[in-house]
Amino acid sequence: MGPMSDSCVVLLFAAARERAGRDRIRLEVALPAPVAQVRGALTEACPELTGLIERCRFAVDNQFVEDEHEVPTGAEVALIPPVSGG
Amino acid sequence: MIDLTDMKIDEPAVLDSVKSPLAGAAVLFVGTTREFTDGKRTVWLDYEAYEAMARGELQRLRELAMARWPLRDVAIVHRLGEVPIGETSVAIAVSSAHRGPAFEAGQWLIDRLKESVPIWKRERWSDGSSEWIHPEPLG
Repeated sequence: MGPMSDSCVVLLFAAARERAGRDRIRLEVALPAPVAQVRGALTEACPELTGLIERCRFAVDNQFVEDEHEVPTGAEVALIPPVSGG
Repeated sequence: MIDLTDMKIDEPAVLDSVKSPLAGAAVLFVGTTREFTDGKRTVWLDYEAYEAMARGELQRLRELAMARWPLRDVAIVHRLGEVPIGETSVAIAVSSAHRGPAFEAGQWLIDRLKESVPIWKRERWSDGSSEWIHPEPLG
């Protein structure tokens, strides 16, 4: 078993950042935990993300991950809204 | 060359960076900011990136393209921050011994960039409103 942590910071971008009014949010999720749990906690903490968060992917340590992925302690977690570069 | 920049993109420099005596073809794709979208007028665009991840994704796309086609080199530069209408927001240059793979890889790279690189644009409309663009996935 690796180290434990009782919270998880999620980075926010673009419309998600604007709706939440901040560029990161600390959630009370004990890590390690699956991405799905982080998604659930974020939805609860930020109801203003409703309608967008369902269309967002998560990234852990700069890699896209599925909801089953386990977020390790100390990982950098980001909410990635549908991208529009180019 | 992989880069994200707040400065104007120097397209000839991006193209020159992939040229080689071993490459008989070099293709440059330039994406520019468009004034009209569905009849609405854009005044300027803002681009935001999750920079560390965007650089990693661009590097990964470059490596995938070089593994898939016989390319000599690939360069991708994306602009961030405020971009006035008509200026270059992205430049992709690809070189190869022959033109076919360079054209194919160039198209593939811009298509993938638009799917998976964490960069977002915000349209500043002529009526003073603004909007982050988060497209619905195709199909």
